[in-house]
Amino acid sequence: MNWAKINLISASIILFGSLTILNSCKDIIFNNPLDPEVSKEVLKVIRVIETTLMGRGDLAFDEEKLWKIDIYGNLTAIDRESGIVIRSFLTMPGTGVTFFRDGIYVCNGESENILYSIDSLSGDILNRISTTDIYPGYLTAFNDRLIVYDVRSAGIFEYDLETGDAVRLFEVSGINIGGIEMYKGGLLISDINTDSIYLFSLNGTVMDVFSSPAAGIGGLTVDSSDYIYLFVLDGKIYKVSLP
Amino acid sequence: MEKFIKFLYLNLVLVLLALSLGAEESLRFKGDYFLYSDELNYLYGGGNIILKAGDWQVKGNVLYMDVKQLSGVIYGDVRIFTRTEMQKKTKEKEEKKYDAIFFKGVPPKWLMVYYREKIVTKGDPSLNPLFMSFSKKTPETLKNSALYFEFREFRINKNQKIKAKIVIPYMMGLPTVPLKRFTVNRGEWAEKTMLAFKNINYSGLDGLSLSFFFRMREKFIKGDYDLKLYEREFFKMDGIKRGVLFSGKSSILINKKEIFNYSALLNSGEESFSLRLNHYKDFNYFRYSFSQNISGRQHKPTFFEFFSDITIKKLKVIVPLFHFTHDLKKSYSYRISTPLNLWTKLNLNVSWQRKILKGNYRSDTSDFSTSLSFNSRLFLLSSNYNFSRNLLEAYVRKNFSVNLNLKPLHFLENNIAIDISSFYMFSELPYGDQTQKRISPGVNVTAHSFGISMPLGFELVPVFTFNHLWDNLQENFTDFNYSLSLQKKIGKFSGALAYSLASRYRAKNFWIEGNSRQNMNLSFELKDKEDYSLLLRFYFNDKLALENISFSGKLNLPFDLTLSSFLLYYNKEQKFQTVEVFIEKIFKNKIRIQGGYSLALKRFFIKFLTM
Repeated sequence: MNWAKINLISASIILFGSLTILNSCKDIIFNNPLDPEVSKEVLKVIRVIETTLMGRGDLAFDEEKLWKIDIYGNLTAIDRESGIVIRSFLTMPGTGVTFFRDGIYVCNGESENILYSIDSLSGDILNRISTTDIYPGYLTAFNDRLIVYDVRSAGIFEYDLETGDAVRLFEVSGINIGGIEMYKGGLLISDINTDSIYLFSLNGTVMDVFSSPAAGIGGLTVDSSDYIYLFVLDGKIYKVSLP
Repeated sequence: MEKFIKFLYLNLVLVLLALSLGAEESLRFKGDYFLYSDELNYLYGGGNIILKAGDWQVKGNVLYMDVKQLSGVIYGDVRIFTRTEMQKKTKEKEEKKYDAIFFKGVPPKWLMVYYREKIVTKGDPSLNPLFMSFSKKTPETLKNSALYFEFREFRINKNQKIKAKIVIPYMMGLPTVPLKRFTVNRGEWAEKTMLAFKNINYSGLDGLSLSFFFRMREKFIKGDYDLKLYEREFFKMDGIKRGVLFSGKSSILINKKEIFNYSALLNSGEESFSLRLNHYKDFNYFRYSFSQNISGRQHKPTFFEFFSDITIKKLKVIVPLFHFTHDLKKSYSYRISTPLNLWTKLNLNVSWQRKILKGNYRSDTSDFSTSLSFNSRLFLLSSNYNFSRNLLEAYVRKNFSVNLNLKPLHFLENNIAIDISSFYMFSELPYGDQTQKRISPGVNVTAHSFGISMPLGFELVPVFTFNHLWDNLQENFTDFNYSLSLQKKIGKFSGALAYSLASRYRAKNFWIEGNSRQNMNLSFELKDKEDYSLLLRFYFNDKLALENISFSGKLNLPFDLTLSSFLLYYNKEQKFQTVEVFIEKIFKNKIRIQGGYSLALKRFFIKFLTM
């Protein structure tokens, strides 16, 4: 089969398919006019952002850009609309990352009880803080405190960076965590095993569960407009909204 | 007595200094002119070149040297002799001359070359590849570097460290202050006990900091440490005024074998420390490791935790690992895990763990987990099962998942690829006083083309994804995601229009309800691999109205300066959300300068870093 024929057939199949699907998908169809829940909000995919950053990792939002850390120590700033890599550094291996008090904080609770503060312009390690009996695996900022997942006890803690005080909030054993993030007063936790996103209250009650729009979910973060960014192993970031 | 001790110390220091200086092996060069490029890590020398290495001496006229490889060549009536031969020289009538002498390493190996009717080589044959492929860089090439040095005498050791005399540094082609002695290339850290200045850094976030590198290479101890001193109060910065940060890893050795190693962290600003001691041993039938963590912080009790594990080897089907941790507060955990090596294509792992924590809070959990993966020519099967029981609060969390991914199917000579996968997920969670069971099987199909050529040189890349999920708690739904990209490239310029549509539907009796969202982006890129890369993108929202505009660019300027910029404009708010423009210059292994503006930091910034 020659090249021209292949292209012609490919183009015909895909264009025909595209037009059919576009026509059928574009508008809401057959909505029940008597169903009060017809416009019920569900998890909506707003945009799929393609990036070149494959593999497991956690996300953070710095009021402007997304940051991703991985266990190989690659810390990367990404534009949240285009997925373009703005900056990339080789720094400490990390499982979790967050933006807190104008700085990037990285942790690797699988092997260390240390928090690293990283300069977002140069990637230099500014500070290393021992967290004593907390092995921070994932972290997020909340009310001038850090919310930390402690690998040692499989618990969620509120951690005061200045004093080192840690208050245990609840326990999350049995969940293979991909990332944590505060969302409307609750805590979002992504579960790698079931590709689900749990919304916990800070006393540990499950408030809602959402299915990930794609398989292979990893870290997640939330922007100032409450859009959620889910990182997937193939490098895509799903910008979604929750009801 | 005190004076005597001081005298002894002073003598000891002088002896050590003399020993360390005398012990260093190096190549010593003298000549009329030497030129070293920092960026190319290359050296050129011209006129009356003399190279001394141990007992050897080489004389010639032109030197080319690759510093990184510690290899080079000397041309022009080159003579080589030892000290003994030099003493006899007066007795001999003629000296043996070569056209070129290649050398490599410290102490060097030599290869002498005559260019006669045929090329004749003499010396170490392992240098033949160097003779065949050595790359010569002209002084003009070296002078194109942003930073280079001229001098008349230098010494280089096996770590590529170059110490030169009467040095004139040139920055961007302009001579700067002449220096009597200067280390023009620090090279790699030497494998000996040393304290070295690493860098000086200033930033609005961190204040002024000085970093040092401390290396220990002694008979009983081997380690690398970082030491950082920082000052903030002087620059009127909030928070910790000043402090010391010390961190590093070391090994304790007996008969050159590691007995144990430790990693240490000391932070005077946060008043915290962490010390971890590790010991492990590997035998034929088993291996074990012990580890003790001691961490503390001001006003907090010191935390001690002991870890140990043992792995039994040489059992055919299983390789069991037993892991145990314990702290002073009677918290402990133990875990047993093993892979099950039943079949090479099948990976199966099983583990069980019990964690009992006592201290400020109590916790007692029992976790069991298995994972399986099977890779065949047609499909990849993976599965996980996790069971976690909280023995104090008496609740259970469990989940189970199976994924079956068929290997991609290719059609039309690989122009179209289809991926099909199916999955089944089950989870059980405490939900208030009750337990919620969720079962969600699903199927996913993705079809994509690698590009279809269209008239006028356009290329069309369509991708279609279908995803259906059954959910026993929420509603079943079907996702259709469609993306279509039309691209064209003309020389260094390329443009693309990408449209995507995501729809989610759910069936409710007779009715099919749902919604869809679309977006589009238009991008233009101008790219030259070596000089610049400019990308302008327009993003359109669900109503296909302009939402954002982004621009990212990278431009290589003269003297290897790089101008980088990234701008993001929100059309609805009519404001720049992101502005980052900065110039960066890295003087290889020496100085890094970054300067620019960041909207996120709301300030101009400039950073000087010596490396």
